[in-house]
Amino acid sequence: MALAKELITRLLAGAAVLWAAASLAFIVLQLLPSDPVQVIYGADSTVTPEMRDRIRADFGLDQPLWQQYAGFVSRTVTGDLGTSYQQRRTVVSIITSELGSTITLASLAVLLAFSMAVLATLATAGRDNWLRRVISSLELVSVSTPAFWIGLLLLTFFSFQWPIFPVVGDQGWKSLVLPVATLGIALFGTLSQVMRNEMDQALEQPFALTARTRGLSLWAVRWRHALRHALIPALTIAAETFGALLAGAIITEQVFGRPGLGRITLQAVRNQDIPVVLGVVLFSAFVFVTINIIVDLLYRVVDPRLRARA
Amino acid sequence: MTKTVARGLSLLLCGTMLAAVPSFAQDAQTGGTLRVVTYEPLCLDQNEGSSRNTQTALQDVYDRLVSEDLEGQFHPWIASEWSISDDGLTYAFTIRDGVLFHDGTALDAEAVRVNLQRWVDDKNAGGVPVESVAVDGNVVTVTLKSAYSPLLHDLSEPVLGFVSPASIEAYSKEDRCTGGPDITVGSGPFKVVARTSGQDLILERNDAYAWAPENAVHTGAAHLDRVELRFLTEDAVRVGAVESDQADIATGVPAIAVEDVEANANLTLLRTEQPGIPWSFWVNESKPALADVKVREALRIGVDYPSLIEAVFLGTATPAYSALTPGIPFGYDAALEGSWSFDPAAAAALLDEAGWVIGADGIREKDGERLSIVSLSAVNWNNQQRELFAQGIQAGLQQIGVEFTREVLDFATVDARFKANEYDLVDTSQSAAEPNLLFGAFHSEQTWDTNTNWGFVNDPALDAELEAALATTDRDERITHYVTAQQIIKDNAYLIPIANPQVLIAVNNRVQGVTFGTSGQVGSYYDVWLQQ
Repeated sequence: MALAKELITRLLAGAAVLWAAASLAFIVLQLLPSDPVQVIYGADSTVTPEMRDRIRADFGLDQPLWQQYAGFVSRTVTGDLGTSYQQRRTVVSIITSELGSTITLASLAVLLAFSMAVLATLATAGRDNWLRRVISSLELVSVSTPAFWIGLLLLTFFSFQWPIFPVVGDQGWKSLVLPVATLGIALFGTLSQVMRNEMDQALEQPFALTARTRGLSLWAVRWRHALRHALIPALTIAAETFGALLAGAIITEQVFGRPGLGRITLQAVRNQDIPVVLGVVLFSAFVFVTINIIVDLLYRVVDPRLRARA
Repeated sequence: MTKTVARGLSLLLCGTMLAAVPSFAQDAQTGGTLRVVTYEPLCLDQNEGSSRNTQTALQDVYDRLVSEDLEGQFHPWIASEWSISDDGLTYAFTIRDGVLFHDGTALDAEAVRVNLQRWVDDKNAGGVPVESVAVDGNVVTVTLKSAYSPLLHDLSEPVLGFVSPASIEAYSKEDRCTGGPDITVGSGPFKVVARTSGQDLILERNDAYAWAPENAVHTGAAHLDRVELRFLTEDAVRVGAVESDQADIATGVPAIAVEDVEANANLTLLRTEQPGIPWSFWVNESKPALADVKVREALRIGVDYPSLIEAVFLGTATPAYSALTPGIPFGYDAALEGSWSFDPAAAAALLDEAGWVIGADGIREKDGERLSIVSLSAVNWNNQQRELFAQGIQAGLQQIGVEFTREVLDFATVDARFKANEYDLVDTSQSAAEPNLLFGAFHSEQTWDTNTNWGFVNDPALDAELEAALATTDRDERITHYVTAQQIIKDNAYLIPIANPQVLIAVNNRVQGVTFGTSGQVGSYYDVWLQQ
């Protein structure tokens, strides 16, 4: 019961966040001194006044602002995000057709980053040796190097210098290796730093000592007990990670010439394709809200203390 | 009397082209896949959305009515011949027999009419004053409201490539924009066989092709089996791909990579001057300071542009002296080259004469007003080199007591600033293979609400030349008018031309017969072949 109640509250709050995000984006984009007609036709086209009027009518831009907003909200509720100014396709079809590629890239990158972070944490937490110093330095490099640069470096060595992975043409998994590595490396640093920090603290707790006295090996303590503590903050930053993923995907897709949501976002922002920008904002807010709800539920799985309280 | 274009002339020109490009001397080999790394087209139905990238990517999928060569002469293509009435208002095109779209339907006079009518209905023919499009047998007649001499040029542009009317009816706008096999249907030497948005566009030879333009090197089907257009946005990645032999051609080679490409024994760097208006300052004459020709003149000679070009563009641009680039097919006035040179003392003297005296902070003043100049540009007109160059201009103008700032803003903001007349200079370049570009940029009625006369130039003598050039279809007469127009623009410093940008492509040596199109982009792959 309590769970259902909390879930409903959560969903309502989520809907409010979505509405706020949509409205804010709508307002901000209205504040831009943009003339959509010029955007639709591109910077170097000649637009006659008749064409201007016809386009304004086509896209409903001749209506008063409140009417445009009401239309925007009511269409959005029914799942219609409008039509791209530049591609003349519906925003929903643009997002859905690009989504698959980004999800593949992002989930593999998260998997890679997470595995690397768990390994790094298990190997180094609670210790102060050369390995820890090496891995900390690597994390620092990962956090402070732009994904763009990582991508170009990987390409220069593993595609241009030694032709192991292709940059041209879709050649299955081979085409995925470098983009996934680029995005994964960019995520790894933050994730690993947070997890080790948490594990360091957990290992100093009395329960760690108790477990050791029960005869558990150091590895078993780390793996069965301390890692759970480290996972909680990692889950918490998962939502932030999603933001980092979208930003990272923009760069990665740009460098590697991959289709995907990031590339579409960049293109839309650059070309002031307002319906697409709004669509991406809404979609991101939606994913953000969903992830937060899921993460809250996962806390209960990872941390039994929360289940007992509920 | 009507003028009919002779076929013999085009064959003659064809011969000179053969002589100019030695690789054609070998026998072309058939087969192979050409791998190109380039920019992505936004929308595959050019009537819905088009850019240079779209047009370059689709130039071999769609055929056009006439073909324009690099000298600006026109050759039969889908129109086997045409005539223009003396008043320049009626164009009658005879459509070639036996042309088929990739879907097997006929590209006949009716299909041409449907395409042209769609262009008129959807896009107001892009500002071309079309009155009507009519068909009678195998003749399509285009009637204009007023004479418009660049019509043949416009009809030769890839954007007016003919789409199968059957595919227009069968598919929605959305589908046509996304494109793909069976949807993106033209009649060109290559047909679309696969399309992955954001990734690539794969073309395959159209074996039935027997209607190449008369100025092409060969006839019949194309030499290549396949053309793979792979889309990579990053300059460095495109260059890396062609250097590591993952691609045969890379377009848009940045200046910084020129040395590397030239040093690579497997690659050839091809370059051409971008046709159009050079990278220039449009000077806003509605601002009191800039209304004075002495001040405009001082801005032109007060900066050492040639040295900056050398330092910044690394040999990929030349100093500009005219409102047109040397890359324009016809009408460029080479006599203007070197017609002014860097002379800071003379520039300072001109500003003194104009009443601008050095103030307390080293910047000139007049009636309490500082000589502070703001140049405006849009993000998509800008690049790293222009950014760097502007710093040089700023330093140069500082020396003669002029404060210069350059603002690079998003297009929407720039658009608003233009409308509010809040700028002194506009820096950009324009590209088109037609000297009529000058009409849009300098005719008194073509200000920002309709076109790009950002300077508010209002000169009856200049208007007269531009109008006369638009009214006559006689090429020599047009050249005379455009040459005079360039001189007027230069004499009055209506424009401060800076640099003629070059277009650079890196090509693997096994690829033969690569040329540039009239637009200054990589040309058709129809005559291209691979040495095996």
